[in-house]
Amino acid sequence: MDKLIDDEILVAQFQAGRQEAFDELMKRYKHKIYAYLLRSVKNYEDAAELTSEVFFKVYRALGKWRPDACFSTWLYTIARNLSIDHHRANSRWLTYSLDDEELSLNEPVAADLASNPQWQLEENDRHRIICAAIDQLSPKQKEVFVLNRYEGLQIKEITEVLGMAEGTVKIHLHRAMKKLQSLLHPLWEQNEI
Amino acid sequence: MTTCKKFEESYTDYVCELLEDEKMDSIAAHLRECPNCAREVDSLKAVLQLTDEAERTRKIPGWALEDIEMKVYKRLASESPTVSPIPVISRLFHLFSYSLFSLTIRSTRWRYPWIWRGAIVSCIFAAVLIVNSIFFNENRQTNVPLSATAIQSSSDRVNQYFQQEIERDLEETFVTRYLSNDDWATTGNLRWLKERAKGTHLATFATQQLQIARVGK
Repeated sequence: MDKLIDDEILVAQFQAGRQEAFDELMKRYKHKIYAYLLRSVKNYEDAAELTSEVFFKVYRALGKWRPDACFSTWLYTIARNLSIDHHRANSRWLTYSLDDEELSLNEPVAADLASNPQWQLEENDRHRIICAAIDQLSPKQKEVFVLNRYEGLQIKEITEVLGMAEGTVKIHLHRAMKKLQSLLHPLWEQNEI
Repeated sequence: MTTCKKFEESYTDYVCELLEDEKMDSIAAHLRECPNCAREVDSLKAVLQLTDEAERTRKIPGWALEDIEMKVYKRLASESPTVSPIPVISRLFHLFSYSLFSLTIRSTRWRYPWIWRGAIVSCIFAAVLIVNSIFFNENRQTNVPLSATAIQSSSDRVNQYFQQEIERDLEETFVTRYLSNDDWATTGNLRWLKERAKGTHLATFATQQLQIARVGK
C-alpha cells in the first residue's frame, strides 16, 4: 500500500470496509507507539501488551471515529491513557529509578556498536546518563519533551493529547530543556558524555 | 543587555524551532552580535543533540513487535459478535402487537363496534410493528457490514498470521539444515511443524519434506 496515503484516508477506507487499511495503520504506528509506551512503562513485555491493547481499542472505535483531530494524536491519547491506567494498576509511578537501572543495563544499543566492546560500553554509559537525566524531569515536563522531541508531535497536537493549553505546553518544554541543560551541559563540557 | 533579557526566554523555543520566522530571524541577528547568548543557545543545541542521539541509539528488539498484529486480531476474533440482539422492549412490543392482532382476528363479530375499534388499533399496531421492524433492521444493517466483516476478517487474519509464522519456521528449518547440515534437528523441527500445521496445506508440505529428509538420512 502506498506510504503516502494519509492516515485519514486509510481510516476512511477502513470505515468503508477495507481491512487492509487498518493493517497499514498498524504497520505505520506500532513501532512508534511501542517506543512511546516502552519509555513510559519500562518493560518490553508490558509495552508490547499495551501496544496491542491500543490497536485493539483503535480497531473497536475506528468505525465511529471522525477526523476532528489528527489520527496520530488520537492514537497517542489512547496510548497515554492506557499507560496511566497501567501505572495506576501497578502503583509504581515513583519507582522509576529502580526499573530504569535494570532496563538501561539490558537495553540494546545500535547493532554496529557490537563490534567494539569499549565503544559499546561508553555508548551504554552515555545512553544511561542521558536517559537518567530525562527521567529526572517532572512527569509533565517529560511527557511534553518526549512527545515533542521523540514522537515529533507539534505543540498543538501535544495540547490535544495532554489536554493542556498551548502556553502551558510551551512552559513545560522550556523548563524541561532548562533542566536538561543544567544536568547535561556540565558533563558535556567536561567531555564526560 | 536589555536585548538579551528580551530574548533569553525564547531560546528554548528558538532551538526547538517553535517560533515564527520573523522572531527566528531577529534572534538569529541578535546571536550574531552577542557571544554570551550565542554560547547559551549552543549549549541548548548540544543538549538537544545529545538527547536526540540517545534516542537514535535506542533499539527496539525485533521480537517485541513481532506478535502485535497477531495479538490484536486474535483478541478481536475471540470477542463475541457485535451484532446487537433486538432489545427486550422491542421484543415485548412485537409480542404484544402480534397477540392483540391475532385476538382481534379470531374474535371478529361484526355487530360489536368495539371489535372494529380494536381491529383498527391492531392495524395501527401492525403498521407500527412493520415500521419498527424496518427501522431496527436498518439500524442493524448499518452496524452489520463493519462488525461482521471485522469479525470474519479477524479470524482470517489470525489464520494468515499463523500460516506466515509456520512458513517462517519452515524457512528457518531449511536455512538451519543448509548451514549446519543437522538432519536430526531438521527432522525434529519438521515433525513439530507438521503437528502445528495440521489441517493446512503446509502440513502436507512438511510431511513431504520430512520424507525427503529421512530418505536423505
